[in-house]
Amino acid sequence: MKGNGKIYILGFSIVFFLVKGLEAQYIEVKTELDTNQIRIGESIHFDIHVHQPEDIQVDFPLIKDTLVENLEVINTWPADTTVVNGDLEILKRYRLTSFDSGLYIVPPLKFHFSSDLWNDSLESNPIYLFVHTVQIDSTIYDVKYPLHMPVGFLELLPFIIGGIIVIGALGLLWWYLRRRKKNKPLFGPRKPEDPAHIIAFRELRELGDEKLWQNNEFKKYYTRLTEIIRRYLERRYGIRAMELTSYEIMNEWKLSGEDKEDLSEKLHQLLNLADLVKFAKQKPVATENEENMDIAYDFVEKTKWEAPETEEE
Amino acid sequence: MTDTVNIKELNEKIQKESAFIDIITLEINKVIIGQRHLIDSLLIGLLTGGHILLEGVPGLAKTLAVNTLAQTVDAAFSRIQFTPDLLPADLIGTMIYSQKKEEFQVKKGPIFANFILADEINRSPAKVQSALLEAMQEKQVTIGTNTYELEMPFMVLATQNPIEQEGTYPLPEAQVDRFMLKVIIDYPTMDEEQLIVRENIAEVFPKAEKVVKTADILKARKVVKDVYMDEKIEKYILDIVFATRFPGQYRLDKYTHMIQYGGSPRASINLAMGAKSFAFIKRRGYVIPEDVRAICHDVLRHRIGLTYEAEAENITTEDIITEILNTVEVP
Repeated sequence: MKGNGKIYILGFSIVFFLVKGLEAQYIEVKTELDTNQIRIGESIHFDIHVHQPEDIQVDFPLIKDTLVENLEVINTWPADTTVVNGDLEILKRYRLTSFDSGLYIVPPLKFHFSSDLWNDSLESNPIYLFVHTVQIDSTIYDVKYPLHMPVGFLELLPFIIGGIIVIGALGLLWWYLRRRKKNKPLFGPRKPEDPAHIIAFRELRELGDEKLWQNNEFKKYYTRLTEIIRRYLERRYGIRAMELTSYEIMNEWKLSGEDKEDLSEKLHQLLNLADLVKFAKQKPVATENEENMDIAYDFVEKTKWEAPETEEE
Repeated sequence: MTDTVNIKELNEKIQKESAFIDIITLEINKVIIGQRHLIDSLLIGLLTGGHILLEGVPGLAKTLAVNTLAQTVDAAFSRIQFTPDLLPADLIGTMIYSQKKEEFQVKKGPIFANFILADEINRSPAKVQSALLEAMQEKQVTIGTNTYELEMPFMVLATQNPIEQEGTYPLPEAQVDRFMLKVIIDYPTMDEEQLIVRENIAEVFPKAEKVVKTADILKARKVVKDVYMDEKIEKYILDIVFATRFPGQYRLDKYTHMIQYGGSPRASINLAMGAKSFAFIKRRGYVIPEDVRAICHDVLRHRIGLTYEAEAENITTEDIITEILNTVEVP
């Protein structure tokens, strides 16, 4: 019994490993369509499923433009491989269509398998596809009129703007012609700029109100003071004093022929002190600051433009 | 009046230190008639250590003025006549083999002096000009493997005839920039010329005496640097130089296509230094806009590049500088 037992165990082991070996070499090829019936021009997926062990090399059949005659391949996807329980599941997908009605039979496709020890091949299952024709409606219908869509604001906008412009232009033209008929100027007289001395007096007053030197801002005070006088000379006499140095201003002023009384001397005194304050850190005392403001007022007052007196009848 | 102490002190210091200016001017005026602007420019160069390029047609006393200035200062003076066959070694020196000592010995060139008169600098080719201008910039010279410092004060006064004349080599723009001032010398007035004629036909031609030592000049240079320059003046200088670069920003759009390149930062530096020394010459301890304007043409005229359009329309750098001065607001 003991010997028979050993034989049984050996036999069982051989059968077990053979079955396991066969299980390990399990290969399956399957082809399928989404549907077996389509209308002309419709497309369907044609899938090839391969189940194989990892160590096996599989050669897929070469499918080009057509699967069979009149059954055209319109798209191909790369093979999608997944590992399931140590084996490979390969899915290769094609999109097919046909423009001829009839029954198409996709013949079995041949797949070659090989490993280090052996070669083999398998064939897929044949499948059929029925392509139906499309019923043609031969009834003659009337021509359809265009559909009437509601008009939106954005479509109207260019016309609205154009309309406003045209109305505005016509209004302007009417206004222009009316003014011309009445011999009126197109635009009213511009408000005349204040005379130079009025501007200068106003600016001097503002400068005085700012109380700059009282707050030790001597440099700012004299810069502003000379700027007011320089701008006054520019407006009153056309001397480009803003671009001239104090020395040049004095020369231009003397050349202007307007030099009266002791104006030159006073102007020189003002500009000279201003230069010292602006460029040499000088800090004049309060009386000097007040005196220079007075000089500026006096200079403008004595040189201001006065309208010629008209003779009264 | 409560004056700020440092300016008052500075004014007093400058009054004292600038006294020699009057003495030099008196001595120069013994020989040179008129040319006040030229003399002021030479003094600015002397006080700042800047080099000066003098331009004018022959016979306007360019060389005589430089000679006279050198005579008034107790310092070494060299005159180098630039000719087409001059070599750099003729200028800076060379190594000479001494058979007696059986070794190479350094033979220093005429550049080893305090005042160099580079007469007619544009008559020599570029390599000689370049050697001189390098020495001007570096204040040192290399002969063989040894480098020699040039003795201070070192000042180059170059003269050139207008470049339109034949047989001249115009100085490259980059090298001209190394001259602090380019002074254009004009003809004397009729009265001045009458005096010049009288002086020259007299039996004895006047000669300037040595009245200043180099130490006085070096001391004065330090004082010049102390002259007070207000921020407003600095801004004015920058406005002028920037107007040469970006005229459009200063209401000078008409010159946008006329200027190829404007003044470099060296122009701003030289304008500031020149204004300070001009204030010193006027015996003032602070700079005023007049000082800047007085030297503006001399500092900028060789630092503005004109386009072909400007040349076609006969626009000169003088026109541009004048227009800039008439447009930029004075502080």
